[in-house]
Amino acid sequence: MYTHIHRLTFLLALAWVIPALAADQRTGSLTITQPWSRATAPGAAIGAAYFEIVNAGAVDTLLRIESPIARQVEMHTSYTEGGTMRMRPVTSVDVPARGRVRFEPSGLHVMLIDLVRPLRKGDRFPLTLVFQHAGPVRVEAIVQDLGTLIPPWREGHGQ
Amino acid sequence: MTTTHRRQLPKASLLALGAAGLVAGASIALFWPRPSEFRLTVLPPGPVSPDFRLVDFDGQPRSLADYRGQVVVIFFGYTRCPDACPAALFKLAQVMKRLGPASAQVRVLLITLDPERDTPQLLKSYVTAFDPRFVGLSGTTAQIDQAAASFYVAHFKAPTSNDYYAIDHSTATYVIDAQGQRRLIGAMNTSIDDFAHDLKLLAGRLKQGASS
Repeated sequence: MYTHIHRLTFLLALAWVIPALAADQRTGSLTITQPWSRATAPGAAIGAAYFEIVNAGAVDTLLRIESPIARQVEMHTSYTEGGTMRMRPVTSVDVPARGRVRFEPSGLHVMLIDLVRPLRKGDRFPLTLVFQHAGPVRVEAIVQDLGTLIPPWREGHGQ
Repeated sequence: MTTTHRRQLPKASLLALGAAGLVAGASIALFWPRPSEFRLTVLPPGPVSPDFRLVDFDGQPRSLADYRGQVVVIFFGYTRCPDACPAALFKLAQVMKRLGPASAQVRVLLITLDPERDTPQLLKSYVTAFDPRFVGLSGTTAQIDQAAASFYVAHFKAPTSNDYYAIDHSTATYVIDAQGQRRLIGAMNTSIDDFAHDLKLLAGRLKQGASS
């Protein structure tokens, strides 16, 4: 009985703590750090999501991303050429051995096409990153303010 | 002989040097480009004047002349733009806050480069989410092309999948003065401070002009 109560409080405490720590997700040698997204204006069809993949092991490939927040999820890359911002789809992303890949504004990003609901600051939604070797890795993206280019935890660290 | 010559030459050359110095000094003072009082890039007037004939999100026909007497800030974008457009509009919303009362003389416009998908309702809910004073403009593809060309804005449809396309576009922000002249150009990395500084300058001139 006593241990049961302890177990219960432990589980309750865990349930309380896990969402706060949901920012990082480790699977095998891969760590997906602090996935985030940006609030969208009412009616906006598109959202974007970003994160960093840190690979402590052998080379892997990110094949696709799934999320119930949008009807279609794609990986795109943006780049500036002669003052023009261009965007192209990416079919897969290689994660080098003992290396890292960053999804960030004006670079690689997750395109959430046809959002099922607007993204509001503070909301969380799941993203599943499907890797060739590591398989699916589920993370939770935290929605930041409208127009955010640098998430609060990276401010002052440059871009 | 040679010695007197030597003695006279320095005198003459000193005089010549002095004269040349005066001329040089005067021309430097006259023609040396004065450091710009603006922090954004100053645009010389181009052969094509910026203009548009579009429709605002309330169905009202709009041309640039309708905003004469105000400082106009224009960004070309689209609501399905992943990060450049929300970042630019969010920054301009913060600039408006920073301007305080001077913001009454400033009008921020988003001209959509995606008239097919950006309906007036969508455009309205999108731009007013950043600042309720922002206005979204749309039109026919031809009208949009014409507007973009008069600002030298490049834009291309870029299909990314079967039923979705992105729009590659210039990410500059244009500032038009109260006389309808293209004056300044801001970039994605132009700071809120610099935008506010320059818009305040232009808006301040407007007040002086009105009182005199």
